[in-house]
Amino acid sequence: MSKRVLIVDDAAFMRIKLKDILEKNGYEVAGEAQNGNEAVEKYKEVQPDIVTMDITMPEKDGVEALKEIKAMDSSAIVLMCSAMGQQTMVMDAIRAGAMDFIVKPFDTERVIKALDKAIS
Amino acid sequence: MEDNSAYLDLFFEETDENLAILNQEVLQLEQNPEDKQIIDAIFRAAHTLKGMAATMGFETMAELTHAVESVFELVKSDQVKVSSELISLFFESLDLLTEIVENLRLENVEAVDISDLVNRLHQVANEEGEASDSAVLNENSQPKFDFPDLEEADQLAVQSAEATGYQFYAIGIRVEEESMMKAARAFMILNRLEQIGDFVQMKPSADALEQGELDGPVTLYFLSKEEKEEIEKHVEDSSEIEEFMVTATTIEEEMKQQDDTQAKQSVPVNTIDSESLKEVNESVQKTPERKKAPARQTIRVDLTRLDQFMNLVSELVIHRTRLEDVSEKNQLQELNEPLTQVGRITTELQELVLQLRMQPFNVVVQRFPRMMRDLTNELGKEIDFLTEGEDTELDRTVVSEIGEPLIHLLRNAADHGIEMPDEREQAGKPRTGKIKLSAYPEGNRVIVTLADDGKGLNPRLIEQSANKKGISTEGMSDEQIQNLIFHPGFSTAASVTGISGRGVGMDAVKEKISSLNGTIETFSEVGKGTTFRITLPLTLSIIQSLLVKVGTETFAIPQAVIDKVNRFEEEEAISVHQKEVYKYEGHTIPLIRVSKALDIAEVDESTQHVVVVLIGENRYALVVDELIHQKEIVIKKLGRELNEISNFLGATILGDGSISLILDVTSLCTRKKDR
Repeated sequence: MSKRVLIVDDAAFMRIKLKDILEKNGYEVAGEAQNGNEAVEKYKEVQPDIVTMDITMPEKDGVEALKEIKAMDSSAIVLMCSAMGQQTMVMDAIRAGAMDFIVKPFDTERVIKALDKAIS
Repeated sequence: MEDNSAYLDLFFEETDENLAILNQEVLQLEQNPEDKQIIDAIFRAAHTLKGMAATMGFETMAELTHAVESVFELVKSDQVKVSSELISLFFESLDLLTEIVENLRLENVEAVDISDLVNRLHQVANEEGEASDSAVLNENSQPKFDFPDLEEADQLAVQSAEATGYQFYAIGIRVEEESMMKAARAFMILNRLEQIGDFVQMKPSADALEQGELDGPVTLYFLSKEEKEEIEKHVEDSSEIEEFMVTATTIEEEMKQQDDTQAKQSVPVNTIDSESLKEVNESVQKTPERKKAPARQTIRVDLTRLDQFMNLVSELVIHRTRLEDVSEKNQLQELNEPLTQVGRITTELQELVLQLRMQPFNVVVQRFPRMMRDLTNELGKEIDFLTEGEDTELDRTVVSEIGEPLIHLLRNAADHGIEMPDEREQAGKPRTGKIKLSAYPEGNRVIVTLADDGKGLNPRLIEQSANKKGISTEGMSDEQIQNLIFHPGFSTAASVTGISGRGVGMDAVKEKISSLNGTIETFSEVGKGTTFRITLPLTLSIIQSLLVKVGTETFAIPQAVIDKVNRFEEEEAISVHQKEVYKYEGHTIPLIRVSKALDIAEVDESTQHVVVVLIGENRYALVVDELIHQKEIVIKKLGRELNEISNFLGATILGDGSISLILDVTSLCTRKKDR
């Protein structure tokens, strides 16, 4: 059965691109969220196998959302999506329990490799 | 293709840089075929190019660079000797790469056929490399990780841990070369390992990693109760890891090895991606050195932004001037102090932005040695090309515009200046000719000279050619005749070769240089050689100028050309052959009445002044009415519609908001006096 992914990103363009990449590579997109608050809500609702989490988002950023999701479900697998130059935030996210991270702009191969590894 | 457009500019910039390095280094290599440092530099640049091309999805370019890199790998390991054929092959590859890059820049397609060249490169690699291929493989399959030092204290701690069931591990991890945020990636793995054990020593330090610095592998000594496989799994689960190794060992063994070799040790490696093992050795050795050197922090800035910045500063200068004007007119004492501050800051800003715009002359020069090499071969001559003062700085506009005229002059010097080796020998000169390009700053100008020791400009030949073309040489000195080469449509070459004389004459060179507010002069002696001396302004946008009144108009004269300013009395004008001259320091110099030259109605009652200007070696006396004052002005180019108007460099906005034209003194003084 294909793994279910929750895509979190404030940019619609990014969500579309990620969705396309994921669906073409045998993943199922279980839900989408465009800010940290929505991410936490959706996580409860759809119970995905894995979350791709953008770091900078309005209202609640990715690191905060990650912490809340981890508090709810310590086994949650969360992959951070970062823009270049956000190394410090990526490190914060890793400390908070992020499984791995990918750096934008996305490269299909990297995204899929990271997801495959995170799930295994 | 991936959406990489955000990186495209950066890609081109870095590619250009690396191609320039390659051109330069390959040229160096030709001189010093054994120099390991040069070979390393070439290898590195080729590798970087390959990586960038592959990341951007430019496959043709990646394939070609890969082929070049493979050959260089063999050169590096002494399996292929550097020969002149090899050098030529490299140059061909570089040309093709440049072509690909240009195509990409223009149309975003590679569209170049590289198969032939790649085949030839492969041939070199296969022929010469076969014999010892296996040896290389063996060597390469054992890349070295440079492990951190262990201390006495570590030994005690580890021994006691070992006693309670811990295993001592040596772990080496290398993040993929193209991976972004390498430090964070390493940090992630360490974070994972920390959950199953303790770190004894690591390199680079945890602090450095948290600062975000990682430029090589991470190595560490680790204590854990887990099995080796479990540890490997923790490392393996992260993405973008090129390779890693986990070795169960003992502290005694590790310390012994450190003592023995004082250096790196070999350990077998689990390879995830065996593709680029070859640079492992190199980067391991380089890492410690790089760490020591404090990183010079630079960022790349889009040129248009810099221009924009420059423009804004210019506007600021204009409005500062206007403020000063208003304050002066209304006697606003209170404003004086803040205005002085604003003045100081804008001046500093101006200097800063001017500095930002400066580029070393080297940017222009670096492509010349390669060109001269090809030229020399093509012409069958022997020429030594020397450069000097490459670090002299010039405004980037000048830097980007001066290349073309210099190329023209260089081609001329090589083609027409330097004689064939036999001819030179007969004339008692060394067979190898010399062409020297130098640059040096002089006040607020930069002087660029181009000297050759060739046959010089023969005034008689020029005279003949000029007469044939209907240019009168009557009453001209030899020097003046030599300067006829700048006359529009003049070419001394008896036969037009492929190298020079393709229609762009020396007049185009002169025009280009004038458009940069520069001048060019020739000094030539028959049989000894020719020297061109180009004087260029340091900057183009903000100049000191003298504001003068002519009739009712206000004009600005660039300060840089002004030699002296004097009161002018009518009787000082002397008429000679229907021309007016002026006596200045014992010489008579041409007198130009600006009002007449520009058709401006004269105002009778005003006092007249004479402004003596120096253009090249010649002085001219300009007659104007009132002198207003000296002022820093910002040159605003006249629009394209006004291109035809020759007597003005541009316009500027004055303090009171009015517009004044800037006189192009060169064109004013040197144009044909036909009226």
